[in-house]
Amino acid sequence: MNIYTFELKKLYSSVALWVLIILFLVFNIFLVVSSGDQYVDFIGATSHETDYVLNEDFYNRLSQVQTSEMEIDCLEQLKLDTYQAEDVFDGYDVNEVGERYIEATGAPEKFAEIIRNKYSDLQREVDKKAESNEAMTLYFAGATYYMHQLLFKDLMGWLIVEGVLISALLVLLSIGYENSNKTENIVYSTKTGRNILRSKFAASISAGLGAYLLLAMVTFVIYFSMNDYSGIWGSSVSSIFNYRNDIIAGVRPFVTWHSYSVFTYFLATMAMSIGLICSFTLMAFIIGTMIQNSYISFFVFLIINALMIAIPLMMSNTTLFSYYVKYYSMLSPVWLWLKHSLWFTDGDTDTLWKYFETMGLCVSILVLTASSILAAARFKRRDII
Amino acid sequence: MLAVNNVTKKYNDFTVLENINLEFDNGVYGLLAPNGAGKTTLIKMITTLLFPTKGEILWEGTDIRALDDKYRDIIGYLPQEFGYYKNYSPRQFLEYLAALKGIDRHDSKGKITELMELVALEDVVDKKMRKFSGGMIQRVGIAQALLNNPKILILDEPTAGLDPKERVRFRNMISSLSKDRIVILSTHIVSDIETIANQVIMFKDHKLFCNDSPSNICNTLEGKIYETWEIEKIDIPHILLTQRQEGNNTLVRFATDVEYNGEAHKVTPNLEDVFLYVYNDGV
Repeated sequence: MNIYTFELKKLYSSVALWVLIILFLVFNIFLVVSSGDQYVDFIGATSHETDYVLNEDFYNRLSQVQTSEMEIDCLEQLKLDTYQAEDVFDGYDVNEVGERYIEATGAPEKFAEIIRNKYSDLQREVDKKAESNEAMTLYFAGATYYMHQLLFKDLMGWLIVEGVLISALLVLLSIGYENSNKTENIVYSTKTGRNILRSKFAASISAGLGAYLLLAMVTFVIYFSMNDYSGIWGSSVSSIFNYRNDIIAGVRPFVTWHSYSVFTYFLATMAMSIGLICSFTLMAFIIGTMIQNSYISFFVFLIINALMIAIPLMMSNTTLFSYYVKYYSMLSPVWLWLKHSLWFTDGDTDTLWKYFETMGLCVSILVLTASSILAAARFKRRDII
Repeated sequence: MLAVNNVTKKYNDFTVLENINLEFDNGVYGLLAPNGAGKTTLIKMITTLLFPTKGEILWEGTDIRALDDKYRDIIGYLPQEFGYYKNYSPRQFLEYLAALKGIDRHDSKGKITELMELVALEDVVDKKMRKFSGGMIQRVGIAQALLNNPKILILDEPTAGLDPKERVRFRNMISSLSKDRIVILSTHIVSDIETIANQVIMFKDHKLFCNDSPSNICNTLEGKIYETWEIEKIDIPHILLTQRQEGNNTLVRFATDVEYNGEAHKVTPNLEDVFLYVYNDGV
């Protein structure tokens, strides 16, 4: 076995890891099981007959759908939902959303200009969507908002939290392992010495991502076996039935920067989640190399993230500095997590730039990787007392 | 050759070791000093766990920090507090350490078997270490230090936890190992090094006190060590060293720099006398 495998074995031998995985799985299964809906089941089944594109064929096929007594209400509801459906993007002015955000937050002109430019760019995307009739897809009709939130806000959100907690704990456990077993002296005086941090990081990030993928796989296998997506995977997430709602801009269409089907949006969200878990793992690695004790390190990790949430919220919009703090904080991993249900969209009042999630993830990974290298270099020069 | 040149180690304002100069060639070097005198600090600097505040440590003329893993590749180290993974067997633990020491897996298998026999643990090589006695753990520690056949073997308080029989066995083992390598053995137990050390190094007041052969060090007290039955007369300026019961009487061994006005006979100084004489504060 090489050093990486030995380090991986140490982590997989941890009882805490398996206890957490089981607890998280029970929680996820509870979320999934408590989400059953007859109308959603009906649409899942019917979409195989009608297809998901709302065109002439759809209405013809829908009129021919035969159903049981029990589902007659569902069929009527679907007909009602899709009756005379109109493209929400036709004539939709998204610039108005930007103006409302600017007004509500009192954004200084410097930032207001960036926001206006963002919504001006988004308007072009809206116009393209209108032209291509991208929104004219079924998704889950009247249950779309609920199902979209369930999958992309609740399940994805909790899975990220679970992945982050497990990955952070594993990296801290790995780095603090020699300290807690009092083996620092013999391990760090070997040929590999403190370069073992590389293997420890590689092992813990792969174990953390492995645990995340296991949780996601089990959760989604159960979720998709209970909710039939096979007929609507190709529907656009910007379907006329999907929307978002905030206190400033009110109810408005769910606009993404690119055209995402439910399937591609699902894949993109998973990829982004993995990236976000990696950035949190890097953060935990930096803390772990500085503190060594796994439990104290984990506590510090939680405190730092809590502060990163609290600081921009506590700052009043009175100075230019406070706006800088607010806007740039949104690129931090913890704020990216908080806004995970808005990934690949224009974001909301605090998101200044388009592609804020991609930009935030890249900035986080770059800054945290550089900091990790510095922390590892400092660790190599530190006295092991 | 391993050279410690003008090495000082400080923690903030506290000086642990000051301006230490030492040279090590093949043979056994005994670091003899009471607890807290700086033995472990020196050892940790030699093993690259601590870094000198001033000065340098050279191996064959090159700073050990610059040599990095090439230097660590030639050292074997048994720390004072030997930590281990309780759920591992000696074989699993040594396999892990062999990987860290860059030893090929195939080579490590044979080496582990050989070392387990050397430390008489071949019967428990696959048993979990959580149930091992202190002496057994210490023997695993000695085995791991020898895994890479080190040119510099550093043992910090190696006989802690060993019973008298194991101590004798250990001393014999160290003697046989020292022919073609540097063995640095730190202890506050004089008998550990009295018979096997070629050189004895002592620290006092954070500075190097002496670095000489045991016989030369003992000669420094020649004519100053006595034994007497008159325990009541041994007071300042005489320094009481040891006492031993013989029948109903107590035979007292003491050191004195002045003439003794009583009934006593001179004896040949040993290393324990030197240790107690040098570190006589509070004895």
